[in-house]
Amino acid sequence: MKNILVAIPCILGLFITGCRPEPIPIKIPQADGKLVVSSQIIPNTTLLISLSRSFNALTPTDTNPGQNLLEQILVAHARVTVEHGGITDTLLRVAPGFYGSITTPLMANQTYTLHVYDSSSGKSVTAQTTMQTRLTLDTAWVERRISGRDTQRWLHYAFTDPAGVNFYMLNTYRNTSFFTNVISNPARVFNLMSNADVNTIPITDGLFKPGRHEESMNLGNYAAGDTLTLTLSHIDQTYYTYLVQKQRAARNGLGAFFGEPVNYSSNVRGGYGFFTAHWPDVRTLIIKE
Amino acid sequence: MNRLLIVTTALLLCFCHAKAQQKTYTVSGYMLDKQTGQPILGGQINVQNSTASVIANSYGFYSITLDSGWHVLESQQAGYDRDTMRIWLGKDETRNILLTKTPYTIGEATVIARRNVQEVKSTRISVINLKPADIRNIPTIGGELDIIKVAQLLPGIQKGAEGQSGFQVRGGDPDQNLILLDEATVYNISHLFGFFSVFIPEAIEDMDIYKGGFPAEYGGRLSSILDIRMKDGNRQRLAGSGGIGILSSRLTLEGPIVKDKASFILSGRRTYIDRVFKLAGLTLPYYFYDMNARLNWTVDKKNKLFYSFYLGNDVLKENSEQRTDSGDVLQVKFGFQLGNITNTLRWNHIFNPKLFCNTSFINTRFRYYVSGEFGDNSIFIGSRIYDYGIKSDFTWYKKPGNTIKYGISAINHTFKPNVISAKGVIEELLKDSAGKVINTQETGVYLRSEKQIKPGFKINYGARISACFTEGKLYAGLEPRVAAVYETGKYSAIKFGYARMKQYLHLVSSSSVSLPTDLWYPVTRNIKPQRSDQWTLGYQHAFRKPDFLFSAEVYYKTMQNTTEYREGAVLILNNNYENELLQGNGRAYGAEFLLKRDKGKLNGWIGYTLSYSDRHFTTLNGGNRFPAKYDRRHSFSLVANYVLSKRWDLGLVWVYNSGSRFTAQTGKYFMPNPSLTGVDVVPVYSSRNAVRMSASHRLDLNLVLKCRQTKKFKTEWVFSAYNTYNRAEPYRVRIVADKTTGALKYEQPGLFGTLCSIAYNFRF
Repeated sequence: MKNILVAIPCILGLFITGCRPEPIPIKIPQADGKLVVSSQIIPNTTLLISLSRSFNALTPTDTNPGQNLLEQILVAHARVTVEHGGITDTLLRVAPGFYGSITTPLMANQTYTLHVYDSSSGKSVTAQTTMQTRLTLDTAWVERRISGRDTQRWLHYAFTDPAGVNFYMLNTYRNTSFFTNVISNPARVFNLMSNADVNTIPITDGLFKPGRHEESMNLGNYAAGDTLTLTLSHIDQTYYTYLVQKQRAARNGLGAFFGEPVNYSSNVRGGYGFFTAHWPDVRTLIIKE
Repeated sequence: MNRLLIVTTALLLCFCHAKAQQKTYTVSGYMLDKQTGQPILGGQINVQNSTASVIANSYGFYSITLDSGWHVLESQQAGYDRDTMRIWLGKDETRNILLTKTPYTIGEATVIARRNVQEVKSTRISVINLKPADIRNIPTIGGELDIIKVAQLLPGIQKGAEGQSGFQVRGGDPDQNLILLDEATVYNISHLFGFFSVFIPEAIEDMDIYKGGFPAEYGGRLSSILDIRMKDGNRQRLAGSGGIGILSSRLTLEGPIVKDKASFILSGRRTYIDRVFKLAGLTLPYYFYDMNARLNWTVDKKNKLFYSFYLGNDVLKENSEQRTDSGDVLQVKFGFQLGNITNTLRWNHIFNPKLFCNTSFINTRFRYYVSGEFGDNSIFIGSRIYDYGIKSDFTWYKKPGNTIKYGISAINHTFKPNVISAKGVIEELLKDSAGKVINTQETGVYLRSEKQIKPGFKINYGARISACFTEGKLYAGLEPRVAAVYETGKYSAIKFGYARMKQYLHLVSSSSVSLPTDLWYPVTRNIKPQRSDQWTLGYQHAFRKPDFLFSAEVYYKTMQNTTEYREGAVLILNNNYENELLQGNGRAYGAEFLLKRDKGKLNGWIGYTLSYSDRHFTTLNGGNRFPAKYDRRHSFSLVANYVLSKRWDLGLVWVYNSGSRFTAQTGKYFMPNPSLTGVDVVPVYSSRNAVRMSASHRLDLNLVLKCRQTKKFKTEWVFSAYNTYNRAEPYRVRIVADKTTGALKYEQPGLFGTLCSIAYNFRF
């Protein structure tokens, strides 16, 4: 019996520790590299297009993309044109991978067609978007709520929702002057380590009636003295769908392990990304005591 | 000459008259084990010098109608001596048949060969019967027999990934398998995330696994029915059995309450992983336990009552204290519980020698919860299912070769999926949800008849009408069932089966990972029932010497309204699962081969499966057909037991499976985020389930040393090794950095390598 009492813990130890089997390597064919399009409108001035290439899944991206990787993925020599109302504008290269136009008129309900030809890879993509009507915030203010020992700050904002089905994007920035970044050095957008405290919320008017609409949101850890910048844009449904996909992926906190894999939607034919044209209406608020 | 003609005619007339006058009578009763008094299920009774025969039903009851006069009944079942009974039938007779258990003998080889022939000649198709007593030397983790793990070694039944509880049958999904324990549904069949099944082997009498050709009495799932029956308990004397293993111990006691009248069986099992870790100074506050009980009471010759109970739980509970930066002590509690309770009360009633009825009252409760407390904050997430049901099954032994079965069932399911309760700051992130209570009433009526059309050609046909009422909506449908056998020789037959099945609940599980806590979700106004149509064609041959049974089957199955999550579905802390579900179609086809021998010095089986399974959802994969996750092309298993000597037995399992499929990340790109403050790394995935993982194979060994083999007390040591050559069984693909070059690469880890264990088993 004594032997058994000694033997069992020994074997138990063996069981618990066990042998870890060597993982088995596997080769997985990689997706073809495609052009990636992204667009932004700097109010009243510029239509800005960024062009890059998709890359191998085994390329490290857990740190900032290094200069080498950026040089590889940013499309330096492309012919980029935007067609609108029978006119074709050729966008100028403002930085490697960035093409802009200050002459293209940006008008609501105008359809813009983007054509890109990358001479180095011979690949081309097209995309089309319609500029949504410009929207302005009727009001925006921050309320302080005290609950026990907690002080919470709530953002209240209102805008006028036009008739029909509409989609919006609200961005909030804490102590970030994002437009300065984009204009002064567009490549800074390719900053993985950005620790900007921002929040993007896609909104659909499916649940509220046309007319003045008020929304509220908890700002979380905003403190007195912080600067809150908020932008509200009227966007199209395809871009809204993309934002919702992103938002759902972010909600899957444990990401790839529990979440369902998703290939993000895109309106770029033959490529990835989004060509969208929308006016952000910008407000800046200082959080008071 | 004329006189001779007159006499002959007169004799002939007399004979015809006598024949016309000859009455038929019925002999009926139970087939019982002589030593324990327990019913013997599926035993065969043949009538000497006649083609008439009958099989005892799943309660051991038999009934056969014969002409008046002398008859000799031959009764047989594998593992028992053959018995003959001479009987004069001048009225209906009730006779119990008592068979004596014997060790394997040449005589039994003949019985098994006959049983194989009987199997070949029956209309049963795509059915496998497993008895724990026959498979107890098959190596399993922890040295403890696991009937669910053994079932996964059979053709057509494929396990999920290592560490997952589900299994797939003929290209179906894990939720399409109905597991019945004494007629009650068991929703969670595994402990420790799939490594142990909840069934204590000593409490189980046998298990029928239906993969196709479903008889009309079964319904509710598309792909398989596992009908597990508990033992009755020894009616003659107190007996016991059990085992002490590294991870758990178990004990079963059985005996008479009133000799030959009432008996009980009580089984319990508990792990002590938590205690053992504690001894080693480590913390693993996890354990599981199971308890089975059954009471049997023979009220009188016509009535029997049975009560079965099962309780099992996985428990993880940890309380600790954490000191915050400010010096405050924070109480941290974490809890997890997952388990089933089932109750079945059954009443066997013999209306007359030809009509047998079983009525069951069934109750199942399944629940899980996860709870956490962090100081003033707490969260509770839970899910529950309560089932209350009644079913009556009638067997009418109309005449030899024609048995009619019919019955009715009704079950009320109450689902409370995803109850969420949060307190404190966390309340802002997660709103309380009482859980949407969904009540469904599922009913079914069926009728089936087995008829011999001509010698060597039998058909079993019938139908089931099932219906489910939920949220003011009624789903109903006809489920035709046909099975036929055509004997091509003395020992071989071709079989055909067709079955339509309907399923009124779904298991909502991620395509990435399957957990015991995956959510069972019933049909609702929006979520429609699943439906399948399966055609099977088979060939069986019973070899006499040695007593092998060979079986080959091809099948084709279509499935409607199977469920998947939409792309990018939110699975964590989501209280509106219905919005995340999509329904589509699927199909599966393949071929299965099995060569098996139940007993003998060398016994076991060789199984091979070739299978294809795919799905089609209009909103998934661009509307293109895609492979099912467990579309494993080849599966092979070799299961062997060899009696080395009087004291030593060797068990061996070698199993090979093609890899399962997954959606691989095959690229990525940078996309400036909508706020233009940085970029998102956006993954690019292959088409759905386009990539196949590597094949897995492993060898498990079992060595049994029989120590003490007296008449009253038997003991043995079981030494087992799982995954003997330590090969990873891929369960996922991850991207890691190469240790030498630092470059990223894909690799497939396995959960467990070689695991050795030892167990001490006893019987008295």
